[in-house]
Amino acid sequence: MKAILTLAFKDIKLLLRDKAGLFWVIGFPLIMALFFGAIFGSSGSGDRASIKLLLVDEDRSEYSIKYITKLSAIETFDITQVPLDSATLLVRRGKASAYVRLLIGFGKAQQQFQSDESYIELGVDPSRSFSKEIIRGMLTKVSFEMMTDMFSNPKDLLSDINDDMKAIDTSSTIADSQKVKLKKFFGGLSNFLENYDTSMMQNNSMQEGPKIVTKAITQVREGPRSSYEITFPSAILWALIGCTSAFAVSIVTEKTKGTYVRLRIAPISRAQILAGKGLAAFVTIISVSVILLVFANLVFGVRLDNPVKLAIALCSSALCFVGLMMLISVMGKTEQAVGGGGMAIMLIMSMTGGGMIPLFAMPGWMLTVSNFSLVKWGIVSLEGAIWRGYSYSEMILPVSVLLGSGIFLFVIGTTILIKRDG
Amino acid sequence: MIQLQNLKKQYGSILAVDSISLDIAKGETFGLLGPNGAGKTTTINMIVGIVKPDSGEVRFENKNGDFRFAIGNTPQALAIYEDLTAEENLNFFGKLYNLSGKKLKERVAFALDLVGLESRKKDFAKTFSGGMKRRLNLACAILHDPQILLFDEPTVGVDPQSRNFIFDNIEIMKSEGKTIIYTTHYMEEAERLCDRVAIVDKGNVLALDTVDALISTYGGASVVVAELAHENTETSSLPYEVQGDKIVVETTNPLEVVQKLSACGDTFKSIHINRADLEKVFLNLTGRSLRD
Repeated sequence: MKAILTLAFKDIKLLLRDKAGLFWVIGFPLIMALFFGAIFGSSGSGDRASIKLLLVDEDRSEYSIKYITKLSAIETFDITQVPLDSATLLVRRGKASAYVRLLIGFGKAQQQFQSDESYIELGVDPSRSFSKEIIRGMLTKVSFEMMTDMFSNPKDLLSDINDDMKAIDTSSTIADSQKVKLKKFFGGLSNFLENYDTSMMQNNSMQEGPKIVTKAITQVREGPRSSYEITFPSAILWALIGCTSAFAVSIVTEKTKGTYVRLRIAPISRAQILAGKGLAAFVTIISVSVILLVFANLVFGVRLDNPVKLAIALCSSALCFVGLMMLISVMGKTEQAVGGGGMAIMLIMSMTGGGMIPLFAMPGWMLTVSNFSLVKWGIVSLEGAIWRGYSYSEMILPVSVLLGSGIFLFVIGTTILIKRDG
Repeated sequence: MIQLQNLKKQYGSILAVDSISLDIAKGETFGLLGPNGAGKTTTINMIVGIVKPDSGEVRFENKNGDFRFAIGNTPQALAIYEDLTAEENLNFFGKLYNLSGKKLKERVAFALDLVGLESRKKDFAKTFSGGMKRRLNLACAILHDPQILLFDEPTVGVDPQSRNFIFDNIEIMKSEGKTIIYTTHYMEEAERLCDRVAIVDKGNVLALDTVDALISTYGGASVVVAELAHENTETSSLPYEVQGDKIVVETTNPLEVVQKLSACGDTFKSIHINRADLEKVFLNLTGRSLRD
């Protein structure tokens, strides 16, 4: 084991001193993640310019209809009216930012300035605090506008007051003495409204807005939170490709430069030499992946909620690409042949496996082709651990493909290498 | 110490080594002299075990434990990591031979001192001249204090200073009683360093003996060349025939010729004895020059 560690440490040291090699291993994948993350983000998968708001009008009063019309005129909102159950479902699935439910009695309460009871329910994910405050502010704004309109046009209010006075007259539950007091009050109010200067209300503001009850609708995370949750798994696969290429070439370099001869003469077995290479590649792959993931988490909030599944995904991907490295290293006898041939294979794998075009954006036929790419299974396992919410049983398929392929490729690669050594 | 018995190796249609048998004694410096492609490197690689012979075997005396601990090899191709410093190279290879701690430190210091790279130990190997790289290559081979040292063309592409350094190092190791196998196509090196030399060509050992014995057996006559100090009109006074202004005599007893020339009373600009050498031996054995 000591010899294997010595060999691996030497290879990692050599890689760290090779600036160009290091760029392909970590610099290039990071650039890819940032570049495509920014492009996908700006094309609409990030925060939207308008807030998709669902409206549930249970009041169905003239007032509530006017209220909704005013709300719809606000550019910030993209409003759709739906029943309550649909609204809840859509918010939970993240298809809409929130819903606003206008309960029965909303119009009446608003017109009578009743503020002790709430008739507006805002259903929103607790994490969307920014959206929630915008919506609350806009609801309050529209309520004030409605009040302003009401006072600006007292005829409507007078009509309501007359209706109320008739209702008081016919009521059997209100005491006669109380009826007299109420009729006196509404009579005074009616008189006030008939002689009221409406221009006074145009610039007046109310002290208190409508009472809004917030209902927490926890969103089920079925998709990536940001474009970076898609681009960073791809970037990790690019890093794997870089590591695979670098270490495959390093095996050939050992041969062409003569150091392989010295290693073979040393009192260590060929298995130890290969294990040292494999360990160096594995450690580098894991290290680079962890660096990329931590960066993605700290800077872009990419979720690392399930470290165990992430570790499984990373280790299986790393082992798979160590196997691929062994096979690529015997594809030629010069650095150029191995570097060129290896990169060609891995570019094809990357193109078809989601390294360039995200898997979700692939047409059906390409998704079928992608099943033959190890890059795809690497990305799927990482995405499964990051945002796809894979269970352990769902992780079995990609992890098995990766481990199986890795072992198969490693055996083929080492067999050819040993055969060539004579 | 080392016995090669009927070693044979063929690469496709090319017969690299054809039934070579050698017996190398402990403490001996043994030379394999031959042109490029003679099969020297293949033989070395079969000795160290990185090339499997098609037939025949290599035997080591007192083969206790892993024989690889007893062997130090200086391959023809520079087997060093250019992106590691001289010290890092030695530390790395030392650890592969189970050296560690104080022992490793001492051996690294010894090897660096021996090859004269102590002052450059912190420099990357890629900054070294060709000769310095060769010296580092040699240091890597002697690091673990092996009893058997194999040098495969260690002076190829080396400047005179490094060449002398390498020769001095090998002579030190020779004086320490190490068994040395040295391959070269420079006959001067074989003559200077080797106790016995095997002349190989096309995978075969053509002759094997001490340098002197090879020369006397296969070298043929020496040549005495005397250059006259002036145009000689009276050639009859000279014991040998004059060709222009020179006398050229092929002889097995050059001293006798020189004595005769000095006794004839004439004056000469110079008298040279061109003694037969290993080059001549090779030429006589194969009809070709070593550098062909």
